[in-house]
Amino acid sequence: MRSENEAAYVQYVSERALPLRRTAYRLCGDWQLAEDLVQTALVKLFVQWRRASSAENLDAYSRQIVVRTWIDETRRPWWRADPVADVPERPAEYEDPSTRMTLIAALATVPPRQRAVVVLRFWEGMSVAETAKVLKCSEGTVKSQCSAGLAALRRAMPEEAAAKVGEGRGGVR
Amino acid sequence: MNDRDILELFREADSEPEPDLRRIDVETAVGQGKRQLRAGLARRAAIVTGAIAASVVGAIVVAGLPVFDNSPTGASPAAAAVLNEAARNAGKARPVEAHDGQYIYTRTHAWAMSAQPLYRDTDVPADTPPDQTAYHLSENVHEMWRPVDVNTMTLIRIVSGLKRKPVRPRDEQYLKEAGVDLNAPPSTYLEPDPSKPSLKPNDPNPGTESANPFVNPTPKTLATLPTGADTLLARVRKQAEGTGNSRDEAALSVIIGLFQNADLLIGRDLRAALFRAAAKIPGIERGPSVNLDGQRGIAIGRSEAVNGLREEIIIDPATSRVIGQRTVQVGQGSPASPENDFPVGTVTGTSAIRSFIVDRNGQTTPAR
Repeated sequence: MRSENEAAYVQYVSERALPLRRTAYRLCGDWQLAEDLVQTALVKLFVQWRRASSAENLDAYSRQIVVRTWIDETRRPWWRADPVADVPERPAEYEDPSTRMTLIAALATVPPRQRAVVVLRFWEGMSVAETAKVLKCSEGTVKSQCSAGLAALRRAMPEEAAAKVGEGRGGVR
Repeated sequence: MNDRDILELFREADSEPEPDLRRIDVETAVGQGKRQLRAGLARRAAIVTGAIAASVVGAIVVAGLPVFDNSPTGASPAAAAVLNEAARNAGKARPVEAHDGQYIYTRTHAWAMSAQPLYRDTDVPADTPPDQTAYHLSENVHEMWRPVDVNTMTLIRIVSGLKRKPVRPRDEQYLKEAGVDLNAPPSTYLEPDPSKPSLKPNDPNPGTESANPFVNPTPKTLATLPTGADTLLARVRKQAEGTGNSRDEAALSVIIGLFQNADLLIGRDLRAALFRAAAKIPGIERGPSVNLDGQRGIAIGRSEAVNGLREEIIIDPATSRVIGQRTVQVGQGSPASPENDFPVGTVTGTSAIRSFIVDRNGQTTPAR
């Protein structure tokens, strides 16, 4: 028999795991890792559930845990420069021309905190203040990181992708 | 491209359909969350006990209490998720049909670190440490034909030095000084040694068979292993006793070794139990996605402070197969050696493993 708290947690997580996974994917660009990040974040959310469930915005609280879990992951030695990785491994032998893959590949070159700011601001639609709260930094830092992140993203986008968008397909909705 | 264009790109990118959610498990999260809460309570209680003890017997005694042991109770949640998915998919990796007279052919394409000591003075006593050590990565292909019935000779062929690359910028100079030619032709090692005609690849090799499935695994001996994760881990730990830099590293090595030697023969239940047992080993973490010779997998490994290395096993959780291994530098080791200054993240070795059944020694295409 579940306690009332546990039942509320299970119900919330069952409904919100999918959007959380999408946020994680936008940050890391790898569906498998995104799912692992969410699984780790769900454990943290359970441990903090009493505080989380009384938060003003539970979704923002959960998303904050996902973002921080990912930033913690990127600090591990796994993610650091790998000067000889190109020697033993062959590069992936396929190219996916879709927008998603182009964008994810470009995002992967943006440093983690700048990437987090760009994803939260542009993909998750958060305000500067909300983004600053999630990343525990000042609004000024969010603005400067956002500017640097967008510049890095533009540099990483292939010219044809930029040209495609420049043709004005759809426009901003 | 302006900010509006980027916003548009993000919106367009959201149109892709979502994959399924097999790897996100609410019940597992609840179970792990409860364990963490219990562990937190126990730790707080122990700290209080420790503080009382310190006031009585002194701080040195308290420092030795398990109060300060922060070792986790199993693999990290991210690693456990990968291992548990591999366990759930164990049925997809069906053991192959193999009969006496056939061979398990294993081809390993590896990049391995090679160290060459460099003495600038040629007249030094035997135990003098070298002035420098020159490191290079060597591309090697190991092939092994292991008889299914294990009682005939195993044929081994190793071709080393297909390519060679210095590891650090200064190694190129050191290798020159040490007389290592990076462009030297590859060398081949064969076992049985062809210069000893008394040993032939198809000769009987009685006494090889062992009742211990970890020594020379066969379908018969593998069937003796327990298929419950806890009991299997206990058996693995018994096998690992007295080896490795730590108890947990040794246990992981035993599991990796079994997959290396007998992946093709491991059935669904044992395969699932091996992955679940690995998920119970403290300190195991999830690494990045890795592409080994075109096969994609996820690195699962454990860092060892003693040598500053992380030994990884590369798993494809969707097929439940082990596709290779890597070794990654994660620190300087303890005690730190000035020579061991590879940047954190340097891959110091990889091996991509392919294995199938063949009908005769030396055959490199699957049996029909």
